[in-house]
Amino acid sequence: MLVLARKKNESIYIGDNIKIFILDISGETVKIGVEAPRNIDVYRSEVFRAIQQENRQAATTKMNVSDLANLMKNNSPCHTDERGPALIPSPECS
Amino acid sequence: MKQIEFSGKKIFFERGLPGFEDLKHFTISRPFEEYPFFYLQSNDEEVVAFLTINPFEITKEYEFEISDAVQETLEITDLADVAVINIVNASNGLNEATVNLQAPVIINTKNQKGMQVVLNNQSLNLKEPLKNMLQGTEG
Repeated sequence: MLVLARKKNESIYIGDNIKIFILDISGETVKIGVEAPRNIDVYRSEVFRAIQQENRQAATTKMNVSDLANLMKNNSPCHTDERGPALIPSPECS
Repeated sequence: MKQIEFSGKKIFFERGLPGFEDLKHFTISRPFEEYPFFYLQSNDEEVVAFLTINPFEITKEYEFEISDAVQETLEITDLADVAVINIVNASNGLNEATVNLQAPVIINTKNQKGMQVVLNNQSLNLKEPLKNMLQGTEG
């Protein structure tokens, strides 16, 4: 890993079209500005890790098709309430 | 937004899915025509399958922007070709299942390329209770 020391208001380039600015340093928090082409996605790494974790949990679940049907039946109101007709009336409603 | 009518189609995920970066080929299927669930089954690794849901069949509250980066990666030329599914985490049972609204799976139905997109919108829940969505009571 390349390690660089930077002060407030200094910046670095990654390649020739991604620029990282150190906007502010206050206690333990560093405010960073990122200037990158619109086709580059930028997001917090803990968010990405949380999604990896969520996917791993979700993928290990064996799903029983009839349980799914039951879930839908138990949660699909057949009646019309103040929000209007149910978005997903179960088959036996119609 | 595209209705998902491509059950049985193969979807190519160039970058895999977060946590499964090596798995690039999936098949999508709809077990019940009348319900909004889809299976996303890995073709590379038989034990890896996701239960997913088409959010727009159960809620009108969910919206987000598809960035230029995503549109470019998936070669989206017309937003009408886009289908969206969200991964359901039912590891604690279906009654406790949650839906990942923060990272929807975006599919270009024209070329069958997909990717899971991490949205920076912090108001979108990583674990939205499925029951709330089904009952229309999500926050």
